[in-house]
Amino acid sequence: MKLIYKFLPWFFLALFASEVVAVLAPKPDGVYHVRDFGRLPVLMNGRVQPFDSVARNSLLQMRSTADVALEEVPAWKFWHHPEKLKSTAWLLELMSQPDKADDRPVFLIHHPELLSELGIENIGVEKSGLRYYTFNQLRPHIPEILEQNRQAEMVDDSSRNPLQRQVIKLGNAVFLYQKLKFTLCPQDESDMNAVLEQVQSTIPSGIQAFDLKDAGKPYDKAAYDHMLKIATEFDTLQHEPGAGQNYPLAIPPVDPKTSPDEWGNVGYGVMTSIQARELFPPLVWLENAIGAYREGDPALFNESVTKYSSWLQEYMPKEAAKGRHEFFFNDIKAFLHAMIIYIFALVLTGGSLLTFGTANQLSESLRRSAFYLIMLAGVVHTSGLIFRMVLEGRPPVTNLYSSAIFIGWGAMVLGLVLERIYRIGIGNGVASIAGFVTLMIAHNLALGGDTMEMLRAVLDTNFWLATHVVVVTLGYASTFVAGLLALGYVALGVFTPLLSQKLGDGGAKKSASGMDVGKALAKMVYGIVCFATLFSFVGTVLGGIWADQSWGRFWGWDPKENGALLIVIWNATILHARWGGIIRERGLMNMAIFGNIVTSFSWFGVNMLGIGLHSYGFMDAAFDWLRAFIVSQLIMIALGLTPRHFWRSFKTTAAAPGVSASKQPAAT
Amino acid sequence: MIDRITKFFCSLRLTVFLLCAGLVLVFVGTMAQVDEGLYDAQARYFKSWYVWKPTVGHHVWYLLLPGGYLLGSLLLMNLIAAHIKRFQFTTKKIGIQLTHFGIILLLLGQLLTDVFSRESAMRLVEGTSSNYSEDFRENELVLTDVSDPTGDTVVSIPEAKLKAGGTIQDAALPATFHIKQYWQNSICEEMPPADAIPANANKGLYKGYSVLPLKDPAASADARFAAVIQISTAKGQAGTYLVPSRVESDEEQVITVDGKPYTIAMMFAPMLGGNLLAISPEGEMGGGSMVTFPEAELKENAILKRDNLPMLIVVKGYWPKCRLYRLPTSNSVVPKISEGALAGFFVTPQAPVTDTEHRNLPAVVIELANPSGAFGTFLLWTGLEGPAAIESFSIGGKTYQLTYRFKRYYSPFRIGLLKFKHDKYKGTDTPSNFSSRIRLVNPQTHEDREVTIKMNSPLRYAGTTYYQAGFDKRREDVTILQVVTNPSWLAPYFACVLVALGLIIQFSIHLFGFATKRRTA
Repeated sequence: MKLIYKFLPWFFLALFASEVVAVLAPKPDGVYHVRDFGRLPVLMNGRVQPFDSVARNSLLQMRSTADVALEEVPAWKFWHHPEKLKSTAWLLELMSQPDKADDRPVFLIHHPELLSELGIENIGVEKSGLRYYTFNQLRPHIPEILEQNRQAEMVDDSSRNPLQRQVIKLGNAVFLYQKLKFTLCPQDESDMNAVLEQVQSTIPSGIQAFDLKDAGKPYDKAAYDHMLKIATEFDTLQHEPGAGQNYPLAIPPVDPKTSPDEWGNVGYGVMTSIQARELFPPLVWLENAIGAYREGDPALFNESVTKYSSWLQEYMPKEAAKGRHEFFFNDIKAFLHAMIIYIFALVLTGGSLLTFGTANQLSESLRRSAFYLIMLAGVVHTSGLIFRMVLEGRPPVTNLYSSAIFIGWGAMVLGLVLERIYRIGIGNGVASIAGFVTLMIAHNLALGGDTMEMLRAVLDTNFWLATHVVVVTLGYASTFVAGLLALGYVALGVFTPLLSQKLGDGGAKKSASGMDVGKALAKMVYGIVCFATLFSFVGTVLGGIWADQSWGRFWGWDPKENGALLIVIWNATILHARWGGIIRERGLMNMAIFGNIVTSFSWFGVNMLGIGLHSYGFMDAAFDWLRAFIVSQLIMIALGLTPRHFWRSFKTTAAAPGVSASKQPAAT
Repeated sequence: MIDRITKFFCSLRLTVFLLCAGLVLVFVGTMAQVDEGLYDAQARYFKSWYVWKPTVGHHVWYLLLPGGYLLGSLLLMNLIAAHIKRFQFTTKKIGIQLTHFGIILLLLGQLLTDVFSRESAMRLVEGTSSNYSEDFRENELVLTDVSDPTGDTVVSIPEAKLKAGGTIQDAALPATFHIKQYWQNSICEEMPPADAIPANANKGLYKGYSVLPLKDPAASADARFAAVIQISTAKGQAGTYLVPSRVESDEEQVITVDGKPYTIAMMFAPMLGGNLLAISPEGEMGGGSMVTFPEAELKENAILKRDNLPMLIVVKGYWPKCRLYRLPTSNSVVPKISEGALAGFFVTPQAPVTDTEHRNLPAVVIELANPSGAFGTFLLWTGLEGPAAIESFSIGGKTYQLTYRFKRYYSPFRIGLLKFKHDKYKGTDTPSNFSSRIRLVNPQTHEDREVTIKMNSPLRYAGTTYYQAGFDKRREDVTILQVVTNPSWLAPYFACVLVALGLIIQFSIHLFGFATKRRTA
């Protein structure tokens, strides 16, 4: 039995570590080298990214998943993996065989009113209460969708109702879908390869005709007209508004050395070919690949992709590497794996707390298992974070998405440190909950689109992002950790007798004895609040200094600034109230829980005000979650305010003379 | 008694109370910005002693809250009092002392900033230079004596005096100024000439305009071409619009036909045969779905239609060279003025603006008088630039210039714009960088150098800082610099270092003390 307890932690660690290793192992490509295609770089939203990122982010916006499930499996059959169309394969299909793609269920609509208004509540694919629709199913309703979309857009951002928001989301998804189709094959063409052949054959005679006409000499009118027609069509396409924003610019710059940013669409490819009087090879390879994928010619597809890859490797090695690395990053899904390990560690932590006092050896074994798993998850989380930083060439926090990942990371580190010191499972709980929840929030924020978008001019400074943003985010993270510990204190105190247990009563041999769990928690919370005060104050003032550097005023009472200030004030209040003896252990806990409300308001709430110089943008669904979160915290505070005799932890010890440590103010 | 007062001001309870009140105030002040706007909320909640009837969540609450000044000064007193009373120079307390000293510095610095700092803007066109910046909100009436060849004598009258109305008399003024009328925000425009034709547009940007056709082909560089068109569909008439060729300052005209938005404009496109009327679904001007009608088709009462355009257009008028005039509205005023560039102008009062994006453009009617009686009445408006904004008159053998303008702050050096760059990320509208290459010339110090001002990298010179603040949406060669003088700008920098140091020291003492205790336990 003892042996099992000893090996259990190592067993869990080995299990999950081998899963991580399996994810990292190179994966084989299919008959078509779709993965190689997915690595090819394009330019969209102002940044170079692989086709795979375009596909993934588009799918996330349309159907909230990065792949397209081809069959629907009931949720309880979890062992049965449904066949999936991976992101790149879907995009390839959309670009090469739009007719086939139009029958894939890629549009998620979940607003019942919208469904009934469009009269489509009985069609589409249903899974776990969500309905997915194909483009063909929506096609008859597109005029109506666009009309409703237009009406909804006339309503101010902040006053749209959920229906209007859903309509806008659907309208955008349909628009994006339609535009992506024409990335490599313009709307009015069916076979770009035939067009390219035509262009090639027209170039000599057409250019000659143009030159002759310019010189005022007799010229071949037919060749001239043909050339003019092609040039007009593709020149218009080349300058299409929204190119590079609505769909990716897939044709690389003709002259990568002097102008590496001059990516273009197919129009650009054709026009530069005419200017150069020969077809631009990358354009030909890309069109060949698309054609081969449509016609079912794997050999030509693979050959074209390989040729283009080696061209990129020779002329644009940086962009080629960016495509490969980002593809790898998309592929391993580091944060998803970290999230899974966190949730498992959370379960183990719960088990360890439940068995604490009754089966101490098992409890300690589970606690240790959770600790190891969190360390593993931490390694995965940290690697993902660093990989992202290197990919972007930026400090860890650049937008709301990355702030969620970084807050989770900070909380994980703090939790591990606490666990290392106290060894009672509380640190495990904090680390696994915070890690899981923040990664979950990040996952949902990613549904908004590209998470590595370019930064507006004023934010484009690594120095301030690395100092102000990182420090203030650590302030958020530590305030949340203090709040989480306090939640644990209230929950454990009211519902279990654990708070009055002595440290070391359980299996933890090395931890200090003589202090009960409640007091240890109070120490932790106090210490973390100190950290939070330091980080949030310094972070906030650094933000002011950044503002002074960029537009000449230290403090402007902007909502985001005020949010950060609220956290500083609240942390300072907690510390002063503690020092003044106004609050004791339970008061400290309740104030720390209120800190969760303050922090969630500054982190998410101020973004919902929709005003101010640096709001990240308006988010809709998050508002309801925020409200629910605040209510839950208020309930916990109410619970924390109940008289001591309702607390299970204190009921038992009240009888024991002289044990009630919580009655004395903790020495600070 | 004094003892109790000192005890009160030294107490931690007061600190905690003030901090809580601060929390509430910052929260309320932030929420109120949604309804009251950033600038007004800032003044009402944070730069005030008390707040009566705050707005939270679109509701007005009957509450009296302490304002930012009150809380700030009480906190400052609390801090200072506690320090005087309990000051001990021990290593154990050094962290707290440093922290609190930093906070005091921060609060005092902000107070000084509030009193002494000044923000203004400098707008520069490439190739020009300037030695003054303009205030964001305030205006001034300026009288300049230009008859002295050695230099001008300038008298500035602040806006508050004009607003108060009445009579302004001063030894520095050569005449008595009677303020006849004053509008806080207004538009002044030329009255349409008698031969202008009302366009009769009932919708669109140019509703209530009239058109003055110009005969002389060489007449004017500022002439436009314009058409009046009536649009109808199967569902009935969509409206009558005046469509002029666009000039720099115009907005795009977007109309709604059968619930769908279209952009209409007159354009000059030599490739397509000269002047033409263009119409396209909104946002697709110049794209494949744009429909154009050449000038030749724009005959009066001609009917225009195209297969791919779901509407019928009837031409009500077309003028290849004309000028547009807005007609006075029912609340426009025609002031009685005797002379000056704005004689024959009318004033349309506008609602005063409170947000930070726009500014008020006040207008004033002034009668000048000397002991022998009134000798001239002028209309002056802050919305004008260049020579039109300056009125001249002579009195007592001296020539004076009078102008009403944005309040100016002069510097002894000049700043010239060499090149403004406004970069965007390829394929997007997201700006990646703004930068202004400027030339700084200071004759006093014989300085003449070039500097680049860009985002996050301002120019600090002679107590003034120049920041890259913005650009002109309509012109690519214009930069807008924010000009700030703030003598206490360094205070937060020191405060930050002090507080960080203090907190680190204090918490280290706690942490290590705590760790040692644990080890001995």
